[in-house]
Amino acid sequence: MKTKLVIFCAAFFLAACHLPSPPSPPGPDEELIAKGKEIFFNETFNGNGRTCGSCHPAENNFTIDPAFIATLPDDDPLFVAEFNPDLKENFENPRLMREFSLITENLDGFDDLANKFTLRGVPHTLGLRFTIDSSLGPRTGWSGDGAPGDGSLRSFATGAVIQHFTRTLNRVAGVDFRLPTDEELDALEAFQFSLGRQQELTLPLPLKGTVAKRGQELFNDLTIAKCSACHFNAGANFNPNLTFPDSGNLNFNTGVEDLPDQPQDLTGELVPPDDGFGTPGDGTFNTPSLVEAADSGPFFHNNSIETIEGAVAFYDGESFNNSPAAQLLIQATGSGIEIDGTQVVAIAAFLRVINALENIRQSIELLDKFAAKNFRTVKEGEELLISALAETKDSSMVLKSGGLHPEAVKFLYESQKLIKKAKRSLFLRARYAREAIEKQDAARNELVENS
Amino acid sequence: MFKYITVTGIFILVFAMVPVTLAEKATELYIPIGKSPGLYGKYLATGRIEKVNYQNNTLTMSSGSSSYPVEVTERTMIFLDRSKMGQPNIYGSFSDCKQGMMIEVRFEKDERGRPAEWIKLEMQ
Repeated sequence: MKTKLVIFCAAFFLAACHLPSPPSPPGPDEELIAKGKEIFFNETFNGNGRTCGSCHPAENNFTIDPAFIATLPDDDPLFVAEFNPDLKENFENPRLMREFSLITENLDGFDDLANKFTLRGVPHTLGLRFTIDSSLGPRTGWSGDGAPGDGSLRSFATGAVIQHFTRTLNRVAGVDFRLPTDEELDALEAFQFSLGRQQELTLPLPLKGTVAKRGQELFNDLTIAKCSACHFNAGANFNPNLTFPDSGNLNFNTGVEDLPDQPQDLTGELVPPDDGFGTPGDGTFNTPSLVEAADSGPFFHNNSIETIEGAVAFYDGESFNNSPAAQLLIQATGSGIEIDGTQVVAIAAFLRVINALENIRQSIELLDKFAAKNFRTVKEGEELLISALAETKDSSMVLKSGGLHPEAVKFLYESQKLIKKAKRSLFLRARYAREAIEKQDAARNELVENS
Repeated sequence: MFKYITVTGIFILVFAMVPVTLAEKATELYIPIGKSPGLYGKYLATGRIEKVNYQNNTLTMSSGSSSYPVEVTERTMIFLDRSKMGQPNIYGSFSDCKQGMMIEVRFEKDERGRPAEWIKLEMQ
């Protein structure tokens, strides 16, 4: 009995070694971000039960796709149009939501809900620090005009609550929802800015993979693929070396709306054309960042292309090369974009590798935090491991499905196992987390030279 | 060789034609007077309608001790704020503007001398 008690006390003591140690008081920014996180995932604004996290779940890179949607229970608030009689008509198209992860938005007005709407994919909320600012004002959402009021990211949540959280189609403030307060908008903005990378890449990276390396060359070559014209450093901003330095995140009409056989059009459901920025629209859509692309498809504003290879190949097609954006490129460079199959794959390989690198970076950051007990509650610690696991799964999936870097994939699988061990362990959590970091480092070393 | 000057010139030409309603968003319809995020107290004029000229589509509003004209064009969006009545907000027209009504105005490019980008009228 005494022996058992000693063992129990020892176990308790050791387990307590990975409880959160009282952290130093959080700074004001950290408090605001924590508050924003709480609101983002839990606040329904007295609406239909949805939260921001309903469409921007952390476990799926803050976006939704058909595979993720298929895992949700039927009573998830995402599906409110299926079980709330007040939202059964003219709020969402459940079939297109489930099949293509398309969300209904009334961007050109609410005067004809049956016919006047757009169907768009859910953009992720990663790296927003670098994907909103432009010389023409803030650009939010797929057409860059996503926010009411001053158009900022801060104001975006107000529009989102009105469009997506309402209890009925009346959308009466104070009845069908409540508007976010100024403090809540501040917190949500701080939280969203904290997500994802906090630095732009500086290309070229010293990549090790043969195909990805060539893909990076093609990406940056303004005489071949020309990607870096609009996606400088694989981000969302226009190349400052081509126009004035602060042009920032811009809109273009790249002809996506002209693609034939778009999946949603094949269903026979009503899919009105999307005219992009403004009312009436000018046909342009906002440039997204490419660092986060490979694991956050489907692609383009209407989810019309499922794979990253398909998204790259789009720029070799007729729809793009007949578009206003391509005409701009042709006038400036003498030609459109012509890339052959192997070049498409190479550019996609580059995008897969930089996405995997970003996922590895995030995983290491999360595991580091866990190992250093830099969290305030046990639940927060668990969330760090869960997020690290999700990021690691993403990085291995992105590389494997491109047939890239099998050694790195092996290390990432090993890292996943260690993270799971850390989750299950009582006494050795920090050690397993540190070993998981070593495997992440080893994977990264396969992709890029050490700097 | 990439023609930098040409690109810059085309860029300026294309983006100089950007419409004035850069940050317009349809959900503004449902935001009651005084609640437009990031604008209230900074870029909006809020007050009462002093008089309306239905012939030339202008009105005069008073705000505090000041009065100023407001020009309404075919681009101006007019929202009827019925939130205090517990009813859905709807689109209106210039004929809905009446003397004495509470009004909130956002001007094009946030410059008071320019026409109204949108007007909200409080309905009671």
